[in-house]
Amino acid sequence: MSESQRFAASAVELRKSYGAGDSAVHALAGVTVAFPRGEFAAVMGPSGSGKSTLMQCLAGLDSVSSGQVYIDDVRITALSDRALTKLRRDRVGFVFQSFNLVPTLTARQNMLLPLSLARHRVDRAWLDQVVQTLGLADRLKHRPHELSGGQQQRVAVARALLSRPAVIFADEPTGNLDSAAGTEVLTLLRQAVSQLGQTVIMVTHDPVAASYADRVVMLADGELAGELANPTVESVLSALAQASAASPVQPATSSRP
Amino acid sequence: MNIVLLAGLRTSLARLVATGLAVALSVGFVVATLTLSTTFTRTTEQTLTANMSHADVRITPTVAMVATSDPRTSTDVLTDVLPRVLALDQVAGADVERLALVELRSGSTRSAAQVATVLDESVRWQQLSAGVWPATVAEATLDQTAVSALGLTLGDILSIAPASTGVGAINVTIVGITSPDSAGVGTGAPTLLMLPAVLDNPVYFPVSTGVLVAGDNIAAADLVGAVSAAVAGSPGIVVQTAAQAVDYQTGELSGSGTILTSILLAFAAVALFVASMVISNTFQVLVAQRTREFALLRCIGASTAQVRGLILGEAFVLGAVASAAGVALGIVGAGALAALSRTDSSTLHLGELVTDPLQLALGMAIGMSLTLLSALSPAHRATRVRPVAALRAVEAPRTATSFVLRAIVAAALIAVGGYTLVGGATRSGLGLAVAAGVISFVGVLLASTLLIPWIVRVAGLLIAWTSVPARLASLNASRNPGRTASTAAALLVGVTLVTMMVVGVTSVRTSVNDKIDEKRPVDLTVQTDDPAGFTATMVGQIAALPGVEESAVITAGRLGLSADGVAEFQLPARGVVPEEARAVARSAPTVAAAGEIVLNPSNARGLTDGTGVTVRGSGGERMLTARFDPAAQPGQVVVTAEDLLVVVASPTTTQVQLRLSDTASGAEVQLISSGIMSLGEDLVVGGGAPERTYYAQILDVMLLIVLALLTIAVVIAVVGVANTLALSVLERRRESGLLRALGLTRGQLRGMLAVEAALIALVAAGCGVVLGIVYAWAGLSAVALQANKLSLSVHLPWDQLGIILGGTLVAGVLASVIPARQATRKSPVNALSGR
Repeated sequence: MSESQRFAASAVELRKSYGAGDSAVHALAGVTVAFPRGEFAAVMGPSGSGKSTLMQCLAGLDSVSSGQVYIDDVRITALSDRALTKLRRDRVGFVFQSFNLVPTLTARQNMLLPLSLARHRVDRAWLDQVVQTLGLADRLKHRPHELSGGQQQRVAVARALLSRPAVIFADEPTGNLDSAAGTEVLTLLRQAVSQLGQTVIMVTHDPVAASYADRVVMLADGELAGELANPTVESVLSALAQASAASPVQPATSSRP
Repeated sequence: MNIVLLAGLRTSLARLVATGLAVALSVGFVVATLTLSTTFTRTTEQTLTANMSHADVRITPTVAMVATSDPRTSTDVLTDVLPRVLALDQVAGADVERLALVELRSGSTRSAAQVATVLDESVRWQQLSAGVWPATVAEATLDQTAVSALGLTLGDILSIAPASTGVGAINVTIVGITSPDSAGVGTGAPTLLMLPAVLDNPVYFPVSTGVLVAGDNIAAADLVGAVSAAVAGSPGIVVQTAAQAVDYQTGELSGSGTILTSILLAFAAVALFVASMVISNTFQVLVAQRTREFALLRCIGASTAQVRGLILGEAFVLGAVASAAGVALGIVGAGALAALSRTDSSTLHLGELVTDPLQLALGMAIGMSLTLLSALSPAHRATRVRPVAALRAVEAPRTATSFVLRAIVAAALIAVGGYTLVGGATRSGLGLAVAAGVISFVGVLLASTLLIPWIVRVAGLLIAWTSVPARLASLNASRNPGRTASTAAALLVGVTLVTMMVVGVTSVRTSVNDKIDEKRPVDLTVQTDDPAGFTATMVGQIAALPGVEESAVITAGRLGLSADGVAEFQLPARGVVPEEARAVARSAPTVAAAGEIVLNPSNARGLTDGTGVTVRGSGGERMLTARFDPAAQPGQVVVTAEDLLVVVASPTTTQVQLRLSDTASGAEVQLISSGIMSLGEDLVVGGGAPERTYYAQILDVMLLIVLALLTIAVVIAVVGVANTLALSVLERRRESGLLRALGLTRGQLRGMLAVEAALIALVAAGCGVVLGIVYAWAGLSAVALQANKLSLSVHLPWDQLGIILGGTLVAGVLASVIPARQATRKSPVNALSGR
């Protein structure tokens, strides 16, 4: 496992099926992938390619049919629900497409929620720095419905950053935002990786969003369908076209990182 | 639209189960009450018909006469007229039915029983299942039920004693067993049939209930004429044909049944009211959750009438199914109660269950209209959903209320009701107080929608700091103020009524006890007719009886009292030991200190308070100080036993006073009394304990029945809490998923829901207890005002109030169990994606 030390999250021969027998649907058909620490990775693929399932399995939100998932060198596929819950709140951060915040809590309470749940102390300096960086200082007392979509998503990013998790999973973080707010959130995620050394794994279908990442992992029909280092919008678009055309029986062009 | 209705029903079926349960429970209550009432009337009719199966005519005393006749002094009209009836040619036979209550002893068992006379063969309706009819006064038949309950067989010997005194038991041999049909209505007590001669002994207090007359080939109507002519001039009796008599008596008996039915239906109304709140709340929530769906329907062309029809259609189906279940539940429940009444321990034996289709239809109609009416307002709200709502993301919908109007109406009702309530309680009386109570309570319920969310919020703040789940729970509880308020209000109704009853009955009980303590401070007094008084051994035996906690001895003698300028006069004296007397009495007794003589001012005869009195008795003379006490019994003086011993040579012990345990039941008091009486033939037992236990027993039974009936309303309200919570869980499914993703454990999620339920339950219970105490005060004051001179003060039974609060809290937490299971079963990812 010495090699895995470099990885914030990894999956080995990961399979996820729904149903049984002939009618079974294989959302993930044996995916092996690893994400080094400090990387901003994007997972892309056409609808139904299994990218959301991959994220959910990596994050310990969903059970797997077979294979292993490691977060921060912990094999989470062997953990109990209780241990998994504890691991999620200590080592994993989330940013979702929508419904990101608890509507009854203020922005500040939402940010601190994972820490409060874990009964961990708040690092004041870190909190101030995150709040400053994300420009939320004057929004702390507001409730979610008093915030714009972009602001809500920034609060979600702040919440994910505050516990200094091993990895932040972002599921279509810009899906519900206008382009200006989307750019803002992507820039923040980019900053978190470059300046703070945070690991971010983002699921997206937007080539513009993917172009902010260090690496793009392509999925098609539940299998890896290639990857792209230092992507641009154009390279992502052409790779996507390739991935869509590629037949699943062809050997994947991926190389193990 | 029907397809939409069916699809909607299919998806919301699980959400409607709890509501259906509330409807079914209340409909079941109504149906069971009506069915039992009908069964009671029919049983009465059948029993009476059976009793007159051989008679054509019955002579019945008017009710008033039974009530006023004292069998020992008044001449029995029925017995008097019997010879005249028998003398008629048209009469084949006739006999008087007589009845006495006795205590039946078989081995160590004692039970209440009745002795009836063996009737003349011409009118005898009882049937033997074994043995023969009694031929001597020492023989009897017993009914089959009692024979098996007591484990007896033919030839066994029992003893019976008059129920009034319990002394002078006689032995009787069981020679026959009567078939169970002969048990008679209104009593499940063992019935012995014995020769009339037995009841000629006045110690049994026999009551003549009627004369049965069998005709000799003559129409009943003609026989009535003949008998009427024969008994003309005898007061207080009516002559009727058997059929008329059955109708007449059934009317008399089911008249009291009707009152009982009305009381039961009043409780059923409370249950229905609470159920309607639960139903209305459910539909309110369902409409809120389906806003998008309704908007979509409007977008694609559904009219408001169609949307309204959708909700009402659902309500109709729910009402029909739940009411049908309720009718079934009611029949099963009534059947179970009727079966229970046929067991030995019951005092009322009901016959076969009579189900009247009309009553079942009535129960069904009540359930369905209740559901439909409760759904009207939510249906109206659904029509206000605008089509455009489908096109934008809807935030968790807030219940809009015409805040100001509601506040004004509520305040007005509370003000008017409250003012009138105080007036009714302190000046006018019960009728006004009840009306004002209802008005003010409606006001309170309206206001609760505005106030309860605030109280929940404050209560939530108190616990929010303890943990994150607690904080989330307290925020959730005040999230939909309308929903929380109506959930709590349903519970509030039940708790208020329960508290009112508990406080009311406890207060009456305490006040009655205080009154008895004051008038009859000693639990049991034992006196003897023996002029020599009690021997020391006997006093020891009495004091040593189990259940006796304290005892005091009263000695007596005659004293001559004189003073300067006052000629000697004689008065009987009681010698008491002050410490003993105080320990025995439940209120301050009249006692004398050493060297003191206590007398009522009416016996002063020239003596003055605080001055010396020369007291002379058979054994000597002594100077005592007079103390006047208006509470002292007139016509006698009280000194210490020691002082009495100095002046009277040999004072007799005339009375032993006993204090029993505070919790002694009527049966225990009875046992101690008979224990004392078995010590000597000439002992007489009196005192306040029998009276106190008698009232306590009546009040306890009353309270128990009322609480059992109110429990149904509370259960429905708790179902409502579970229902609201379950609906909220569905609504917050994605939020729960988010919280789980962020690290909330399953246990914490369950805890969060439990705290939310506990908060609502506790606030409702707290408000209910306070309101209940207020209404209990008003009720007690009004009753005290109505029944002149009866002073009733409010006594709070803290332990029982604690049980109410604790019980509601536990019920609330239990109500969260099923919704919590639903909430935690979903994996976070399913919940988040809304799958």
